[in-house]
Amino acid sequence: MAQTIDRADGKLVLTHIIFALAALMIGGIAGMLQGMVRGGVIELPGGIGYYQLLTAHGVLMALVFTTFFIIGFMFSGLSKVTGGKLTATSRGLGWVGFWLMAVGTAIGTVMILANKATVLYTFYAPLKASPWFYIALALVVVGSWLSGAGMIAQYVSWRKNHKGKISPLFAFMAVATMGLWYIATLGVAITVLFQFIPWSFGWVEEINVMLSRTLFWYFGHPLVYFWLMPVYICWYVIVPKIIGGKIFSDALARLAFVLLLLFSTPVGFHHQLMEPGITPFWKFLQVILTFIVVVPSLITAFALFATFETTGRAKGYKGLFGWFKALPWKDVRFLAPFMGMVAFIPGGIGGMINASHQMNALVHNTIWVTGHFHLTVATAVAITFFGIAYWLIPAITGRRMTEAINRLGIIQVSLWALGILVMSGAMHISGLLGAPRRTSDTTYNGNEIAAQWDPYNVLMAIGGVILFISLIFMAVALIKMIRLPKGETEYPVAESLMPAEATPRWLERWGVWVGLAAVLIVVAYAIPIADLLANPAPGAKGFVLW
Amino acid sequence: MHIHRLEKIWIAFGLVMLAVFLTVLGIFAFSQGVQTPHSYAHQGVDPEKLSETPPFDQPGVYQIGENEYEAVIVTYAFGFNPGEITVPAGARIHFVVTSPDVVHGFEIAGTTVNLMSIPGEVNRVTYTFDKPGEYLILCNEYCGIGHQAMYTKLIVI
Amino acid sequence: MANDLQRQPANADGREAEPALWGTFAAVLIIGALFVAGWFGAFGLFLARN
Repeated sequence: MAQTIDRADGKLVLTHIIFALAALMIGGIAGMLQGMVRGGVIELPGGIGYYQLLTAHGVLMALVFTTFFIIGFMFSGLSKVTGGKLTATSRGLGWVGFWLMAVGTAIGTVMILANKATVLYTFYAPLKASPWFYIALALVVVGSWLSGAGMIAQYVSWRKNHKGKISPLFAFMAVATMGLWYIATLGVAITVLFQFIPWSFGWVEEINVMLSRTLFWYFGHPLVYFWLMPVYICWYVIVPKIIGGKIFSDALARLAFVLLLLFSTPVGFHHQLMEPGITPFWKFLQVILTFIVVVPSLITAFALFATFETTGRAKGYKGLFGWFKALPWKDVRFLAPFMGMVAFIPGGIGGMINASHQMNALVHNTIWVTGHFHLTVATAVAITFFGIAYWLIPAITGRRMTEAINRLGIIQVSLWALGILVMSGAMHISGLLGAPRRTSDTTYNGNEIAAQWDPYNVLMAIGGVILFISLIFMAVALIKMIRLPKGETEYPVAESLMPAEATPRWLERWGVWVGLAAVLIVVAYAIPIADLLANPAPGAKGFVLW
Repeated sequence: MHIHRLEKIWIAFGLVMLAVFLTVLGIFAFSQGVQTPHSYAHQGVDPEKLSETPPFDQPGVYQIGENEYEAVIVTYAFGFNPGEITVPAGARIHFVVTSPDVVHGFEIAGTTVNLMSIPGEVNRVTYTFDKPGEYLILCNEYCGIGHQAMYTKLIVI
Repeated sequence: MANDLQRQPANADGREAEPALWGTFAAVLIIGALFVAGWFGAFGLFLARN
């Protein structure tokens, strides 16, 4: 076939990817400036505040870059594995979703720049932003629901035309991801639609703060699995093809995604361990559930190494770790996701420490937490997405990915890894020494204890600058991709090592899984939320303190 | 579903590791008293009426036993009431904290005192200050333009 | 080459041999050890400060 991906589908995908990368670049400028302010290198000019930048950085990176890239990537894979073309319905929903999300992003950005929403990306009450900020968030979420409907429509269409056959792995995983997203966004939708919007418009005077926090974190934890699952799609389905191998266990990969669908949501209290209003019993119950959600990642770690090892041994490499040499280190399509996997090891360890009930007191709201999520979302997720972009963009634009782009990509992701190492490393140590996060300055008027943190702030600034340079390389690469020679770039999708019959069909019984997920959520949340509703603390009026 | 023998061992190892972590945490939390900050009963206070609501109508440090104190603290934008606190070495302090405005953090750097002060709710944690010295108390949850200036000291003599 | 990636030939008793995954096993156990060391290290620090 001359075209790797259908033209119309490619347009939908490319629009999402470019929008995502644009958000990343702007968010990256903000991040670099933040680091430099904290490191004492610059002072911000009048007209923009540190906390505005921080709000923009969080929203653009954690909500816009991620969501748009994920939706674009998943539409591309769905198109590829379900016959090479999205249905008109699927594509149409995809476009409506995109526009709603884009308009929401634009309104939100304007509010942030106008200093009417300097509430950070978690927008905790009773800090009160302009109602248009919350409306903007609602538009992004509702838009994503339509995008998800488009993906599910494509999946349903494939299943109707292939009755009795097991779905392609990429499609299964995309559906699981969007399924989790629907479950997760229920929480933030409820709090934004029924609490924040009426309250910020002044239709109600007070807001139940604990309820709003609980609903937000009901969403906030599965949000990170919404980011992670597409990364796992790349690691499970795409990377094996790139290294010349096959998917180690299709069945276990699906099981991992089912477990993520079940256990990603009933765990939000591990972000609220230091709060009043929730008893230690419920906190600990959700800590137990949090530790269970580690299991699909343990399965994934084994599966990835097993893929590497079986591929390497098949190519004749011997010894305990000889197969390591079989891996295509000079191929950015592999190198970038691999760096993401490596970052996920300390990322996962730190995450477990964070969620460890009373031990959270060691790190809560210190900059260790910031170091943690720069390893997970800003490396495991982001660097994998960079690795995808280098082949996906040529593939969907009908061009040939050249060795020059590959080399540029290797430099870009290596700089990114270096920047993260310096910045996140400093954040972890400084956080353990007590340095707080989310603050423009940690000197506290010359305090001696605070002075210990200064050298780490300098390291963070350096790391931030290196990351920004990496983004410049990416921008250069993107411009060069426009001028690539016309041709074909492979869309790498691996085959399974085992035949399709080896995968049990019960894995695809979505009704059962969604039902079980709902049961777990009720078990974890019903009573504590009922308590917040039945014995509400006095509500809070809004504050605009910036 | 076929699972490789070595993978079964790995997952078993993982489950045991998680179970050990949870057991350690559970024992320390529920039997050794090393627990998350919390209030036992759901104690709501009206953030607009703190000046009329005991104990927050009189923030301060009160001795309640031999080198044992209750520290009633109001965290506000952008400071702490009471400001500086001074106690003798070995002091066991029960912190009782709330906010009249937005969510603040209450962190004593270098210790495990680290909790959220939420308007409408009362949070509690207990800590014994064995080591003399000057401790930095700071707000570690974004609360507005003066967030980075929100700090005070706890001095242990 | 592709053939090598098919499942292993059947044993005498008709069952397939499992692929050799000792390297994988070693790698994940190393990661597991890092998890255990990291977690207990942090917990130790937590108790020391408590």
